[in-house]
Amino acid sequence: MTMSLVQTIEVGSGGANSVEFTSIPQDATDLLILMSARHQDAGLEEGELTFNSSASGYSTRLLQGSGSSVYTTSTSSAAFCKTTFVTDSAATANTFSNIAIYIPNYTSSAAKSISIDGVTENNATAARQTILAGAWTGTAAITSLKIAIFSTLKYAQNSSFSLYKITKA
Amino acid sequence: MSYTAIASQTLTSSAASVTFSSIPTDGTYRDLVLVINATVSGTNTTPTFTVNGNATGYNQVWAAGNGSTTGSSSTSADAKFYLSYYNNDTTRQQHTIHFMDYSVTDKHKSVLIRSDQASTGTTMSAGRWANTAAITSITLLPQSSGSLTWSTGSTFSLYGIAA
Repeated sequence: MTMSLVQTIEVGSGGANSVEFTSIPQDATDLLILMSARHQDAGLEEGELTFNSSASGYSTRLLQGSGSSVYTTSTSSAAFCKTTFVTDSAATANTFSNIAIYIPNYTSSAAKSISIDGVTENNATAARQTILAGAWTGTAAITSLKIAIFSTLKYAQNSSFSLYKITKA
Repeated sequence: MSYTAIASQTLTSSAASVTFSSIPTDGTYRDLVLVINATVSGTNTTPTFTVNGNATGYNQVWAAGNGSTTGSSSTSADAKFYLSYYNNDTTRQQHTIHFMDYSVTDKHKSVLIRSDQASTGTTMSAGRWANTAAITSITLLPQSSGSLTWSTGSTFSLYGIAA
């Protein structure tokens, strides 16, 4: 099968500062992570994606629209690859951000590229839609990945993270 | 949405172009998704692609950001589609092209493109090929014109999404 689910992690009561996929199978070509996430505190924050417990070599460049303005920024040589914004507690109840993270050639011995699309959800005029280009200088195959939320904040209960593997012809 | 692998190419030597041909149009797939993870031999490039060897009728609009400035532009009746709004460099670049209803013959063909290179910028674009023919081939070039090449190790993976 070309595309198959590896694992889904759903946050339980009490929340979680991070989720981690370990022992990622090395028998496919690309990885796709789909996030439906909300965090427990007020204020938009971004997820923090790392591979193989590495805390160096991440770069990003993003474009974001808020409904009233457009914004672009970048990071380099950072400790993590930022994801797009995660819906916060001030947003409409029961709304979660939708984020897709695509990582091609995750088992290769070359540096890794990352493509992220995300949108916060809110029953109001203020929401954020973001596209992001990421890179990791690491040349090891990706065997684990963690997506944390800023500092000591926590993903809210019912946030879900699904990891898929995709195999080329 | 579930992908089915159709074809892939991993370059064992540099190439001036990459083509997928004989793409099935028997209705097995409704859409195509082409994933490109590549490097090119030089800087100041904007990768491009055409379909069916055709050099007319490409219309496109972009929105992009490079970390410092945002940009938007459009073309009409062009000779090709462009993957990135910004010129790329020799670091790894990633593109995903989604062809919708690629095999039907009653509509112009729509594409959605995401292009990323962390060193230069991120782009989203929508395009229309003003032609009702089914798409049977796709040709990718590392630049609009010139002598640059796709580098060894670049990968190009074509997937179908079932009807």
